[in-house]
Amino acid sequence: MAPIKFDENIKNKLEKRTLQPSSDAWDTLSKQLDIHDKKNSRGLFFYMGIAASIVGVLLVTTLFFKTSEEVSVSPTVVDTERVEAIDNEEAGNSVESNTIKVAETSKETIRTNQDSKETLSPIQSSIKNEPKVATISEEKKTESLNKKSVLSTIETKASVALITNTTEKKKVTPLNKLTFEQIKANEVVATIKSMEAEGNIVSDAEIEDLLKAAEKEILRERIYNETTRTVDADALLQDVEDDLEQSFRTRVFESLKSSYNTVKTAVAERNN
Amino acid sequence: MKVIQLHHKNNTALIKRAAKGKRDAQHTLYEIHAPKMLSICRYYIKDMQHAESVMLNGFFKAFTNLKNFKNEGSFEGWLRRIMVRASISFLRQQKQIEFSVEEEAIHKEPYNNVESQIEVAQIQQLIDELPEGYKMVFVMYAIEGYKHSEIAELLHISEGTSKSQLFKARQMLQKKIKDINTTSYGTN
Repeated sequence: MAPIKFDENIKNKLEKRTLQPSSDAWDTLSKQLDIHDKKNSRGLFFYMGIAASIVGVLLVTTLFFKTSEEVSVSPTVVDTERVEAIDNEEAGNSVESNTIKVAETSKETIRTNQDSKETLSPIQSSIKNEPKVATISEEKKTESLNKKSVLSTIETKASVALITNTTEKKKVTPLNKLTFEQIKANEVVATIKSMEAEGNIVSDAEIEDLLKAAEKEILRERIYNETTRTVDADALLQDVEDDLEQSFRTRVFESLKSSYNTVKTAVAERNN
Repeated sequence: MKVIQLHHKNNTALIKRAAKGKRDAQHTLYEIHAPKMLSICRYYIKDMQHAESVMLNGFFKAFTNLKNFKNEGSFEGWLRRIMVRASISFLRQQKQIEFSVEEEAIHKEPYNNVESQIEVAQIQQLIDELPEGYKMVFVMYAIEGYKHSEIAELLHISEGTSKSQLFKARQMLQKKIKDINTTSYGTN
């Protein structure tokens, strides 16, 4: 009991006591609290920054892939309708439908000279002239065919076949090539006619020679185009391959022939 | 009664604002409780500057952990516990805590009302002169109201040690007070 009273007496006296802190104590505490708050906010900003950067990277990647897909898909606008319209207008001026093909081939020339009508008009006239030449040559060809069938029924079978082939090709192939082939065919027919007119008898061999010569020229024309000054690679390759095949075949045939002759000679001379 | 309720409401609002980091509210709480808290720290720590430093450390911990305070108990009680723990921590860092392991028989001596005439400053001086182990157990038990089990847990000692330390502290204090009274008043 006594110790409790002793403790209580001391407690009562000490409990009443208050000690005033120094004047700068609060400032010290305030500074400590400020530093703590800054650290906390800095940490918060740090984590927020990380989060924001992750979100940013995700957004950028998404946008990048999205835009790249769009770019790859987006169609390129080509001003073709306008050119076609111009072509149609030009084609409308010329009467024949063949002119459209020619106009399309020289489309760029027309477009560049679109502004100046003076320069355009000669081109138009040239475009117009070409089909006319083609049609005239076509007419000539048919006429010559008729005449030829009447004049020589037997000898010109091959030439007729060739000419009909060329006329069929003409519908599919471009106009320039047809013209050349037609000219060649006409030349062959004209030569035969002139030979017949002179009173000479035209043999099959002569006709074959004429046709082969014409074929060679046509083939050369196919390989090397004079107007564009270009060589058709496929045609050239085909020609070379044909030559090689022919030469190989010939060589094999020659070797077989020589070996056969050797064997034959050996067999024949065996009994001697 | 109304005045007490109003004070309590104001105190709660103040604590809430301080918990949000409002410096003015924290300053107000500091102004209210700092003198008492410094006195508590002073029970344990002899040096006034160190005591103030420990008090400031206690306030810093209190303000930064104010969100954990629930209005179930009194704010002052919560703050006091923080100050006591901060003081113990300080003394532990200073390695000033020593508990004599010698077990002495608890003698029930006749109690004389020897401390009634002496002043508070003298009592504090007598407490300061006590060994750290005696002082801490005596202040925690006699003034702060901790139980021996709580003291044992906080100071990492056994309850028996806590009791013996308290007995020795009382004995020493009574002897010192008796000596003061003898010197001052010539009484025995």
